[in-house]
Amino acid sequence: MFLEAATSGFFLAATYAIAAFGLVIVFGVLDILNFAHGALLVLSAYLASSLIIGGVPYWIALVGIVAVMALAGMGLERTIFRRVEGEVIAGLVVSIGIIAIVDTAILRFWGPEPRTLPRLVEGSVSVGSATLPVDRLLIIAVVAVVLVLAQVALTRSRWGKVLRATAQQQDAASLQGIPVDRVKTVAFGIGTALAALAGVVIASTVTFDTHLGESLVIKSFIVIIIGGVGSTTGAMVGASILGFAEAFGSAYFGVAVAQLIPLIALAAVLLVRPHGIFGRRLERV
Amino acid sequence: MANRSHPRSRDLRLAGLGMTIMVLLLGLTACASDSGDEGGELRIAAVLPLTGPAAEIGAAWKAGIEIAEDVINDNGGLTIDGNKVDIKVKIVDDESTPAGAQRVIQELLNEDYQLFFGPSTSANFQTAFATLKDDERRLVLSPAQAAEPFLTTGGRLFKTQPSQSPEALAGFAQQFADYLKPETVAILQPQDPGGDGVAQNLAKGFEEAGVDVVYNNQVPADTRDFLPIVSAIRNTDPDLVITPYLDSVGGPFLQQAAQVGYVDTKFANYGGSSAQVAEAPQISEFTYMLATRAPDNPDDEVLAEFRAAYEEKFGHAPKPIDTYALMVYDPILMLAQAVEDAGTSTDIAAIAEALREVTDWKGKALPFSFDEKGLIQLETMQLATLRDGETTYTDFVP
Repeated sequence: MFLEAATSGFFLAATYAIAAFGLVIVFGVLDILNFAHGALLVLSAYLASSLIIGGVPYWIALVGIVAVMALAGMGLERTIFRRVEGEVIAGLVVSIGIIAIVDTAILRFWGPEPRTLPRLVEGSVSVGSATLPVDRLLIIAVVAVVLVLAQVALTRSRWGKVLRATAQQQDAASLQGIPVDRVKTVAFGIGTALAALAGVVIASTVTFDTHLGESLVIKSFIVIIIGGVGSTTGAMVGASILGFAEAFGSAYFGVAVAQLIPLIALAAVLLVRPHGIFGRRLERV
Repeated sequence: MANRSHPRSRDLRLAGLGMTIMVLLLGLTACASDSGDEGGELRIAAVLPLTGPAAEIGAAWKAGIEIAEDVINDNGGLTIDGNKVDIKVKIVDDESTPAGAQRVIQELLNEDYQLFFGPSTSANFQTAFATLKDDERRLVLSPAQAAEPFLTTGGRLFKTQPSQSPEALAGFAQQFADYLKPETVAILQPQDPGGDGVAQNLAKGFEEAGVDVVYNNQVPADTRDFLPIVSAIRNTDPDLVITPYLDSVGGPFLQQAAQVGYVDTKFANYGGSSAQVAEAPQISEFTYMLATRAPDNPDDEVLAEFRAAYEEKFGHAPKPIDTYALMVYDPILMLAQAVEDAGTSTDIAAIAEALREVTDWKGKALPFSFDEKGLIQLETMQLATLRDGETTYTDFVP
């Protein structure tokens, strides 16, 4: 039971991390808490379902949807979110509007019934007395690689430095010749691309409906608060805490206890370290 | 020099325009508001979960309503006090939430609907029914388990699903125990009022039948990762696992159980359907209890006409979940018959009394009747067992 719970913990940690990472980038650079992140995530899942069930190979569908959603995110930033930058209430209202539009579109085109994708990979492997599904192990590996690459890019690449400079001080970045508006657009696109990746990955392992986005965005916000608003490392640590707590809680103590653990962790972090474990904006080099 | 009369006359014109618009709006509202009939129509409101966790059940209820409507209207409608009327059912979505149910109920009351099907799910029933409970101008049919405690002798509330009282649910556990003969059982249900009742009372029933309950847990209806739960259940090694009553929860649970090779124990379900094993064909044995009958059994002569009507309407055979459609199909037809027998669409007390007396109606599928408290009675229910790709059906007396 321990290995199965651990696998589940890694899987949940990976999904929460990839979902939260995009939110952190958007908040860090644009100062926007994008509540529509979950809606965009679940829209990606539905788009993937249509493509994959229609015969498009999984990896092609994944890359295509991530690319399309990145462009859609950039378009949303240019046309809508830029107009409400810095205005919390207006940004919230805009997010809610986007959620309503996406949810209605999903119900209109795909209907209310939950959907299931074909398994990415069939089969399981036995490790001792535990049986572990191969598709989850694969997804854990893929997400881990993506997160490591994203973190390395953020901290070591030129574009990563540009993003972090813009997040720290827009005016100073602009004075240094950084095209701040373009950076914000790209940041939003990256955030939406990561949401799309999370959506497609999660949809390939579980039955989903429009509520997938709601529950994941709430978990993402818990992850961000625990890990530290604006910290990508914090997002990964927060996701791990949440994922493993849920998995081991469910396995050993029951679902009711598993539901309490993240809330207790959240309360503890807020009491002891209100800015979160790594509470800073995008990290310095 | 200021023209003191000009602003005043403009103000008067604006006030007049405003009052005219208000009068027009009030007039339109009065025209829209009606009681019972509207120009040859018997209006019934149906409050269903068309979205949210219970959406698959809501879709089945909707199908049952639409077929019932066609059966009546295609056969000349109803004759009420010498006038021919069609029935018109307005179906609204309560989004599977209590707030959604309350909101739509209020909107329907504003439109002066008197005959209601729903709120339909236990999670939504209690808060939404509070608005209707003491209103003597409203009659309510509902399949919700939570409706049962509100039934009163001679009342205006009718429950369209056979009893799910604690005693009845415990009796269902006895049926499972007699049929499947487990020594130990694990129970998993959704975290909602329906799941609470099923979990507690099935556990009680199994214990009374001498079966050890080795696992009893509830999960949020939006749970997607069941592997830790599968692992925990497997660890207790039960002879029988009772899966969640919602297909949207039970299906993913069984799918993930199959993924890790947990397929050889017996699985059973109260309230769901064989759709739970659609994505987990490796499950060796799955038994489900039907509150009505299996409409997808092509060999069942009892439901032959219903199946034909369903296929004509939707272009395909009924699905397993359409056992829920039967919970609303006959009750709507019974209500229409009661209105016709009472000779009125507005005297709710007369309609309620007539409904308790209805024994035959156009398009009848199942031999339902309502008792003096408004609880639907059905002589037999069914157990269906899916094994090696074959389904066998067993009738039993609840």
